[in-house]
Amino acid sequence: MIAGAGVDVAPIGRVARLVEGHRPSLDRIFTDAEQRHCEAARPSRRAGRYAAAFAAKEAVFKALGTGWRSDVEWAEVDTVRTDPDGGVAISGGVRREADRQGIARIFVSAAITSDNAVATAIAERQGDDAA
Amino acid sequence: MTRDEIGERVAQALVQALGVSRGDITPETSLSRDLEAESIDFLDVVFRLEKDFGIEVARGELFPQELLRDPALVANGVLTAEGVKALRERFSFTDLSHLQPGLKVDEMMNNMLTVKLIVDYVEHKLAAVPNRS
Repeated sequence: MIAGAGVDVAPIGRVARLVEGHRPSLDRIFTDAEQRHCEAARPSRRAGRYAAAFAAKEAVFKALGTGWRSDVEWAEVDTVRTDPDGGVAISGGVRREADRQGIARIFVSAAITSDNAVATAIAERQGDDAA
Repeated sequence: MTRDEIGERVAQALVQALGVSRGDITPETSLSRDLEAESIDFLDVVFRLEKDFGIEVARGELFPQELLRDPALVANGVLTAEGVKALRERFSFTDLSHLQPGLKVDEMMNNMLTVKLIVDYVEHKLAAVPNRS
């Protein structure tokens, strides 16, 4: 059963400004794997990948109903890796919140246009396989 | 560094992070309500404050993240008396006498995250570091 859904749009230019202006702090937003994935893209595509990752994280927070102000960290959602159960890799406070809500996995999808990245997240409750 | 100097640096950080004009910023200006700051903007602001003032904004210090998840402090989306007490203790560097039990959390966050709160916070952080204030 679907326990929550979230969607977010991230302006690529805005995310690019954040990334370029605060490279030493990026570990607090993006995991190592995400940064490698984004930096591996052609220069003209890098900002789009960062924006997609950012939008996906925000979508996950919305699917959990926590919002960015809650006890979760951006880097606790790794949008380029998956958990063994097939959902996006989550850890720390995000994992604890998902467990508290009985959510087994969160699926994420993202798309990039010339100006924006959009992402959706669907949170699935535990026990759905047996249902 | 004087409070006026801190205030000006904070204002410049907001101008650069949010793309607003200096004239839009007063001590009472709310980042959410008046400047329409979103999540990415708050990250930008925090990173700029850390860089500009050489401070570390620890988790929950400027934004009461985990406090708002405690059911003893927030019930049905509104602050409890215990929640008001906890926030005033956490944000002892600023005046939160206006907070009252029963205040909606969303409304509180909109009203609480002002330029003055940030200036109070930075002043408090700098005062805690010898030879920096």
